[in-house]
Amino acid sequence: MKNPLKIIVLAAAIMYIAVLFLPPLLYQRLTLPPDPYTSIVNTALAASIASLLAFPLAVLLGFYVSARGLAVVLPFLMFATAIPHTAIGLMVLPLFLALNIVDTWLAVIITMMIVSLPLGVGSVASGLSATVKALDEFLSVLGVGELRNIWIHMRAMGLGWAVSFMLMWLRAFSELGALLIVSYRPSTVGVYMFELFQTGGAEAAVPYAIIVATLGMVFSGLLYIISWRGG
Amino acid sequence: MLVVEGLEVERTGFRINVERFVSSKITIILGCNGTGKTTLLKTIAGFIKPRKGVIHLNGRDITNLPPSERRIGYMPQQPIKLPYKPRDAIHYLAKIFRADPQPVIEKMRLEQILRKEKLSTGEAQILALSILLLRKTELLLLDEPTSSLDFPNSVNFWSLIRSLNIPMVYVTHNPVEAAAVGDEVYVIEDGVLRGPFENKLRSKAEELVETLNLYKNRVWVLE
Repeated sequence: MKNPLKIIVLAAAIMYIAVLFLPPLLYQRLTLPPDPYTSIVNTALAASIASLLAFPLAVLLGFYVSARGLAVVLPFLMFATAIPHTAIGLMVLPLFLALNIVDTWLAVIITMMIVSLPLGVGSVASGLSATVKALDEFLSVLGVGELRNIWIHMRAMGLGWAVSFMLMWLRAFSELGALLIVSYRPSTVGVYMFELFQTGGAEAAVPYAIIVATLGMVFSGLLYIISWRGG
Repeated sequence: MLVVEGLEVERTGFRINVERFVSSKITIILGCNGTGKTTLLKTIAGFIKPRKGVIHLNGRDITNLPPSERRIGYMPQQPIKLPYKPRDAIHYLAKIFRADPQPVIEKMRLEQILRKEKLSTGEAQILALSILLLRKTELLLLDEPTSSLDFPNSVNFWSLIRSLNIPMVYVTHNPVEAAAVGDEVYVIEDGVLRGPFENKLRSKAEELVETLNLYKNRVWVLE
């Protein structure tokens, strides 16, 4: 046994996957719901639009948090990751009601933007933290304009920006709590799964959960590869 | 010429007092870690607002100007690695400043560096310094620019600096470096700046550097 700690960590990871996947695969009758993929595709599209819209804001805020000492804004954003997102859904509901967008894809996208933004800001800020201060000072004194400065920093992050974007996308894709409140219909992955469980019990919902979990593993793998290649 | 007078800078639990600081050649600020060298440099660069005092550069009051309008070049302590190939970096920034990079490339003998895809820390520092020279810079501020360089690269950097003929404030904690590079030296201790002291040790330092540059002489036996 070369490194017992390595083996323990590896075993723990395998156990984690086994605890998640084995019981449903062994003990559940796996019957797919009639249309398992529409909701996944629609949710993926909504998450992509939300991430594309929120990402520039995440970059801007991440840059200012990291380079210009505006770390004070982080707690005001990050608190959203520490509360049940049902609360966020309930808090934006009056606004969505006033705008008459409840139960629309617009509500889904806006909600996804709200929940994924903090993660994007934190991720961009930490991605930049390695070089940002010195490079920013160097470029600022030279008189390089603000947007160009941010662009150079984004380039300096290498594939780190892609990691930040993917984290935002995954967060948007996996949202349930807030979307249960603001958009039960059209239903996103989480809501659809929840509904399957409510109407058909575990038998109806578990196969769908396996599909989503497998999809999540694929995306996590992709995220790992991007990070490893220089994110 | 840089003239700093009656400067008072306060950071959390730390204060810097500068009665008078003048720099028209290569002026060294020598001091141990944590004595306020970088803070003073950042104040001159415009990143830190002083509580009191004035900073004049060639007769202009720059005390309240933003860093980009001071006509100063600032090289932070951390090595600057731009996310471009070396040739692209200098041409991209030259384009931004509407400057012709060729005179700088020639002056800094950059041709070899610009042919490379990736640079060592020493080369990256030289490229960064060259980029600072693209703009009309009246003063250079260098914060321990050789702190991450090995000895031969430091020696090359010092000789390059000496050849530039631009007024600069050069911060270091290394007395040999101070003696080898500077025309005059200020010493900072616990936030208090004293000087200027004329550098009378240049020839001795150069002799010492020449002797110690074992890499150059390929002499691997210390005697």
